[in-house]
Amino acid sequence: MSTLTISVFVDLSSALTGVAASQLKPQIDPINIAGQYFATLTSHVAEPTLIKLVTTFQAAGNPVAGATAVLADPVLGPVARSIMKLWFLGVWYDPAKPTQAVNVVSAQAYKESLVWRVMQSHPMGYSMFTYGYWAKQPPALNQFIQPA
Amino acid sequence: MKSSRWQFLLFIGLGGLAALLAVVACTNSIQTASPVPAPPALATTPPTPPPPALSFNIPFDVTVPPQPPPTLESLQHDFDVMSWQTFVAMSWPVLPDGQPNTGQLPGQDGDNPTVWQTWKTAPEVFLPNGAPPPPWGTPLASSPLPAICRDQLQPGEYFLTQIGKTPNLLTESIQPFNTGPLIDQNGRYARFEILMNQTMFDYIVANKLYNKKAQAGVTSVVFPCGTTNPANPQVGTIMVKASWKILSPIEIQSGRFHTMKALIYTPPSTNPIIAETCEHATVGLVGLHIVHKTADAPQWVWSTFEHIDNCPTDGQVVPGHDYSFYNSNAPGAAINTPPDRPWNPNNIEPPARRPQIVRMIPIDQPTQQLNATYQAALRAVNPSSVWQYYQLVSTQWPTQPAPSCDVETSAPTNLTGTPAPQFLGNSTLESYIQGRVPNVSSSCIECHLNATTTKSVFSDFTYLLERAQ
Amino acid sequence: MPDTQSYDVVIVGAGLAGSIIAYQLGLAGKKVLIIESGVAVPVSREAYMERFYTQLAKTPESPYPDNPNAPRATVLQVGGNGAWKNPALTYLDQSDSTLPFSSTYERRGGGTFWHWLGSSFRFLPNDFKMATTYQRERDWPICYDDLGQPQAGKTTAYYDDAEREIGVSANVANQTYLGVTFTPGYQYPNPEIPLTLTDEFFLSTINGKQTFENEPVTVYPTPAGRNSQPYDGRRVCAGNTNCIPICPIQAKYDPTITLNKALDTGNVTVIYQAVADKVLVDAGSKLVTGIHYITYTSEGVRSPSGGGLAMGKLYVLAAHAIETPKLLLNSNNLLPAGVANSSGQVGRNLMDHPLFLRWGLTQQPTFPYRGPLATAGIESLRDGAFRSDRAAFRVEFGNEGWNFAAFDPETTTLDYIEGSNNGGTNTGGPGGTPQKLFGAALIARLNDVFTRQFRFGFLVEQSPEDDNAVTLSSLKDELGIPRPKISYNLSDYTKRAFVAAEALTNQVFAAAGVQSFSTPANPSNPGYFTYTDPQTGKTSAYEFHGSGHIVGTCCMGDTAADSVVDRNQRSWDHANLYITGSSVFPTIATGNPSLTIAALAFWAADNIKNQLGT
Repeated sequence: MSTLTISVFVDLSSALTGVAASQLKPQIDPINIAGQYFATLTSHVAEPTLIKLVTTFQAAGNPVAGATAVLADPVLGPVARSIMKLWFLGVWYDPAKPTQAVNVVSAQAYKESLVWRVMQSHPMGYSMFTYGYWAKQPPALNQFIQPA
Repeated sequence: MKSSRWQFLLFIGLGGLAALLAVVACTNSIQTASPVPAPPALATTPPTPPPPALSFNIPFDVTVPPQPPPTLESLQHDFDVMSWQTFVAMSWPVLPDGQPNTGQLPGQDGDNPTVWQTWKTAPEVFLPNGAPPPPWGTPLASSPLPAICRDQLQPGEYFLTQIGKTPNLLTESIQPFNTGPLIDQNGRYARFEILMNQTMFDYIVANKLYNKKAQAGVTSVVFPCGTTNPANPQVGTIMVKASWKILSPIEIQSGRFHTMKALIYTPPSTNPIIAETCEHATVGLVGLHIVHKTADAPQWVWSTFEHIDNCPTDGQVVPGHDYSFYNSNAPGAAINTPPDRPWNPNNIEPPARRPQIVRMIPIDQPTQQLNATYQAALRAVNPSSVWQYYQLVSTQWPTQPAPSCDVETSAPTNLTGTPAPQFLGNSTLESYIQGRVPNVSSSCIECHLNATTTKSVFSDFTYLLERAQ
Repeated sequence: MPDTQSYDVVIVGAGLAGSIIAYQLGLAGKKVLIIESGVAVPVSREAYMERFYTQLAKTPESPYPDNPNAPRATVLQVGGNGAWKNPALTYLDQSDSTLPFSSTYERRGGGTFWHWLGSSFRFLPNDFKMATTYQRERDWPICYDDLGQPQAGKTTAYYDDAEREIGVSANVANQTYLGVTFTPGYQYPNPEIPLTLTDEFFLSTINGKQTFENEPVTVYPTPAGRNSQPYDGRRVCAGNTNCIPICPIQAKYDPTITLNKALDTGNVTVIYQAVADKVLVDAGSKLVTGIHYITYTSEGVRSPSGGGLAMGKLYVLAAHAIETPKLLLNSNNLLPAGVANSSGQVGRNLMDHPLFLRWGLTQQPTFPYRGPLATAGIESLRDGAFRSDRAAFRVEFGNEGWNFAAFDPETTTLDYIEGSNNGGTNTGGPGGTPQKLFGAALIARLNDVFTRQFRFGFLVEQSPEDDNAVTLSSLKDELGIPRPKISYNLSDYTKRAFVAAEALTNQVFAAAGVQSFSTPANPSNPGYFTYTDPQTGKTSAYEFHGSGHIVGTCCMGDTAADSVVDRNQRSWDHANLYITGSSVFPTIATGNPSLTIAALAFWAADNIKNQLGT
């Protein structure tokens, strides 16, 4: 019986989002957004479901197959999709009410939400670019997102 | 996107490492005759680490031990050590030519004029009409003092004998973005100044960045990073911001401050109405930003020091303690709130208009421990050393440093380099924006990323270039 | 209740107009008291930004806390399925309104301008004489030159003064169209802001290549109150794409800057948390004798704490165009119709720019969600012969993709995670069904969609109508003050602009080769309305939104019979009462009202100084 650890959570998140684990949780990590999302998830989802999440993901043998299996499961699928929304949007959605946002996890979560990098930009309200950047082509997608 | 450079340090070959250590070793410090160590205590107590060596050499970069593998905490420690080494070297007793006096130690006479105080101040570089500043170490053609101050100059006003050094003229009193002035518990306004080392000065002069019209032709600003290359190691660009407090006679006598004699110049203003004044004063150093661009930290290393008497940490007031910027007998007053406008630096403000400054983000434990070791080492030089009364608040450094010295080009999707700690401020210099809100609360790198030339070109993390006339 | 000491001038409202007037008067040595219903300007914007970051719906109100003592409407209160009409759910009582008034304002130090976009348009010469030129709407009692050229004895025009105070970034050459003139040799304070890739795309595909109803279709950069170079001690724009609701770094101007300069004069006092509820008038002289206000202690909870009477030689109301008429109408102890209301026009002619949104996808990426919220638009259609038949509009190019139009990126992200199609793009599955994606495929598809989003916003000139009005509701707020009751509709003249806007959209979209994703008008949405062409009998349906431009309720005019203030913004009825801000606009034209509010405030300050004498 293996419970969900941050390490497995990050691997699962990487497979679900398509973003490299090293981007989700860098070696040297002053922000620890992975820790925040992990805490959010485990505070809302019961332990048995988390255990099933781990075993289903790991049983598949490779991350993509693992993510596929999890997403297809009637109980695990909604949880996995809530995990994806955490990473892309910084918002917690209740797996039981998948289109109803519950809350923004934190200001850090909004700032770290990945959908803005997916569109080669920055969160509205948090730009760390320089004046006039908008008149030029942005860097390529693979400079914003390291693929899993 | 590269992974953190800090992981690559694991792969430094032994040869390279030895060379690095050799560089550090052969330029190492004068050691005083240490007291003979006491015999080790009995088995159970762990050995205390040796006191840090005091060196007049500014580090070329952070030193990261190859073992064990670096962590966030260990790197923070390494950068904090670099901050202290830099502070000590820059505070070293100085010779008339601006070089450290290798025959002395900081504080051996209690206080001493410092190396960094011989560096050029912003007004000496950004001259009226964008005139070119004279080369490093040579005097300005005519007195830079405002007329009202010239008549007040007295013999022996300078304790520095370097010819041409501008008399210590302090003029600035409002914190960035107009958030407010810093007023001490005597009702006097604190003053700020910005200085730069020769590397920074040379780059500004070579690229004519002191001149607004010339800035129009500048499309890229990349200050030098320095190098640890053993063949020709170089200290990178360093800029300094100091905050000074006008000392009362008792405070001067306390011997707790690094002091200098200064001319406090208040420029005239029509709104608010402020009279032009010039005043002699002995000022004490209360805050010091040291910002150093290195090869391993192209987003610069941001160190900030404070005098230990400045203010309490939020929730940790020591009752009855004499703070410079907090009244422990008025605990109910609103904290970190400037007085109502208008602000007039000529005023001696009444108690109700003296802001209660509080440190919002505590200094973390490892940094406090490091502070204690350096303070002890400085005190060991002379128990009356002023330098033992300063502490490192923290060091902000990029955890994902740009791959090259040109940050804008080499790290276009992570210009900040994901700094650690995320938020950092000096209670004397960012008094009113201490917090943890992204893009707003004081964070050296985030805020300075918005800095540009007068023509809105990214200015490599310094606001100085917008002062060009 | 304590009396306040007597001032030269008492101003209600610490927003744009109030701050400018206080600053000018303070510089002239006059003693000014500002009464502000909301809380003080905070020491830093940390609390506002923290709140913004953690709100789910990033509305204009999202950084700014609710305040039961000085309540205001929110965009979320304009709810669908008729919820906007339910006064239990809203601050504005719209229970008897035909259409929802959909724009909001802030009651706090700095005012609504905390969340203005930054667009700083001068009005056009014909905007001031609609009746004379097009036999429509009404003429202003002033003309363009009164604001755009220096008046007698002055070296700068009021528009120049406003642009300097705000720090407008623009280029005269690109703003000289449709009759607009500038003082000789005039230069804007800051250089023009670079256009975005979205702007460049439309420039290359449609600019100067089309006509519409015999007018050229021309794209112009938007003059903006945001720094394009370090200015006034503030930073340069970093493209936070967040002008509405708040600029994190204050590169965008806001009135706290001018308010601070006013306080620096040493002649200006502000009393915050003071809700003006009555203007007192002397029965004989009809002069205003004081403004009564109620104070409270805490923003978060109903907490009245007494009140006061603000007294001065002259009085200025600058509380925006809903609270100002409400205050006048509530001041009905002596004058049943309210103060300054012999004309019956107080509260009437409420106007907005009803906003028509159109959005779609370009074929190639244009990388939206970058830069300021808007940097260019089609401005050549702001005037023309067609104004005899239908309202004019300007077309704003939004840089924020479908954020406003479709609540993206949440909507589209959820579509591809959940396999829904609320955004309209998720039709790539078998037989056009939605796809449910994860991993690399999800990233690729999201990138593909988001990088091609764009939206247009048509700001339509709403005509002034007597029946579009602010009156007093029988319902009261938590301090016992009547809430504003709104009656609001769109005239046919206004609605016909939507017909034209849709036609222009079709034309421009075809020329640019873009694909529309605008959703059909939905009857359950609050802004739904229909228009039937009397000649063809054809009925079309549209949806409008609020632009945040609240205007017209204390209009200026040539005679006391049909206006509230004269051309000097002074009440016809009370010789020591001025009303300024967007309340006094007789028409709304097409330009965002902010710059004209500021210019009029500078003029009002001069009038007030003249009346006070030396």
